[in-house]
Amino acid sequence: MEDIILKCERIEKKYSKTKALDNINLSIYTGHIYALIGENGAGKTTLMRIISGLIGSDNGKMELKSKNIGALIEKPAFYPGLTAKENIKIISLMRSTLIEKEIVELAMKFGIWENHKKVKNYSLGMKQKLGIILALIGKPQLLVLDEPLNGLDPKSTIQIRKLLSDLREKGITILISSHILDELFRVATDYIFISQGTIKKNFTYEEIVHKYPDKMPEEIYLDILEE
Amino acid sequence: MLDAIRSEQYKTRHTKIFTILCVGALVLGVITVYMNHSMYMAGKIKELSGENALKSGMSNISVAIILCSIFLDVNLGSEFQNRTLQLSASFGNNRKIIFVSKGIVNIFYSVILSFLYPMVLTCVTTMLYGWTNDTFSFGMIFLKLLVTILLEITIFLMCFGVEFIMEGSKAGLLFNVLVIGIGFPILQSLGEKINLIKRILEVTPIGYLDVWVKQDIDINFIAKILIIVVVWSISTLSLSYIIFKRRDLK
Repeated sequence: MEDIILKCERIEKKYSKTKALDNINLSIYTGHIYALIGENGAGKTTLMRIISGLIGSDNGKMELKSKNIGALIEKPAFYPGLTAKENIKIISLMRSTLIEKEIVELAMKFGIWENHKKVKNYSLGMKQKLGIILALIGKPQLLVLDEPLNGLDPKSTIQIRKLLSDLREKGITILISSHILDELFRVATDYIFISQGTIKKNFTYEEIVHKYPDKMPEEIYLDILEE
Repeated sequence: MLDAIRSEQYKTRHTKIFTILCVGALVLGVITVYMNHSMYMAGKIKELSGENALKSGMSNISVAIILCSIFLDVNLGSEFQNRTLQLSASFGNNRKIIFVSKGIVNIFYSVILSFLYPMVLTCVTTMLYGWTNDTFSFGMIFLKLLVTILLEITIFLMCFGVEFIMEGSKAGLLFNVLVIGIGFPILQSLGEKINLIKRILEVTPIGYLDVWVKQDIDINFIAKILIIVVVWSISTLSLSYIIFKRRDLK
């Protein structure tokens, strides 16, 4: 029996009169990569924000097995007037850890460790990579990544894909959203389809391959929304 | 908590705003000495001494509040704008730890900043004109410094609370500069003429900013200040913390 790291029951969230999330029930198992798929305004970011503790839900219950969460929500957050190394040092201190060897290696691989430029002068892709590195500090048990592939070049996308697989092998659970469905279908083990604030369908990779053979990810997505 | 404080302290040391404001306070101190000197030469000031410079520097709370407001707005306000506050909160960090660690570090640096201007003013004036008239004993000066630090901490905590409530927007800076930095000292001087205002101000820290004008301070005065400092600090911090705790971080 696999461990559940996160369980959401009847989660609801309203922004003034608009229901952003309605009756969300979700169980996230340890060591899986969950792809959160939905149109703009479907409620993906709101759900991720609630899971990350940035906002509260109006109703429902959320049980988290570990509070050690790494998050990159919408766009990367960092101290723009400092270098990547200084940003890593601040977040490491905040998370009560020394600068970890894996983080230094990853930062070197992404070419930002020895970069003495201030982060505000980075390209969008570099900022995105730094955001992912900052989210990984402190060895989080659950990694919440909202649109982490935005602005990445093909080489970086491959690097992130490999990184996500490596993290999964280490037992880290990942919840990821992206509009690049092709990438999501390559890395995820489970798929959550969300539309208008409600979860429409849940599939494992095997179920989706079995149910929709020979279909492109975009076609699968449209089929599910129309069902 | 200790790591959160170290993280905040590391960040503050590595951002330029504190250094820039320190230089600003030093330059302002030197300019004030120069202006005092010119007025002294023109006969507009009868006497210049280190002690008088200390009294006027410490009484001029507006400079301290304006410097502190700019520092808080840049250092703390940017955390809301750059969403780094959200970054700390998303790591499962208790919001109380975030709030308290930022409070401790920001107030500590604000107090240092507030003392630079009067210290430069006093040191340079003393070097040029000597300490001369001994109105206060050094024991009394030390006591007055302690009381001023307590009052300034309370007022800086108000500015800190305003920044948190206004989410680091420019409205927070404007409120701190106009209402706390300029409005409060105006109220204080009005209190000297209008009794009602004086009575109202007596239950706030502003009513005691004239500590350097008073000849002596006694134990009753210190007890009163301690009560006011504790009540105002706790209520300001509690209010801003409750708002911050319940707030959705976007």
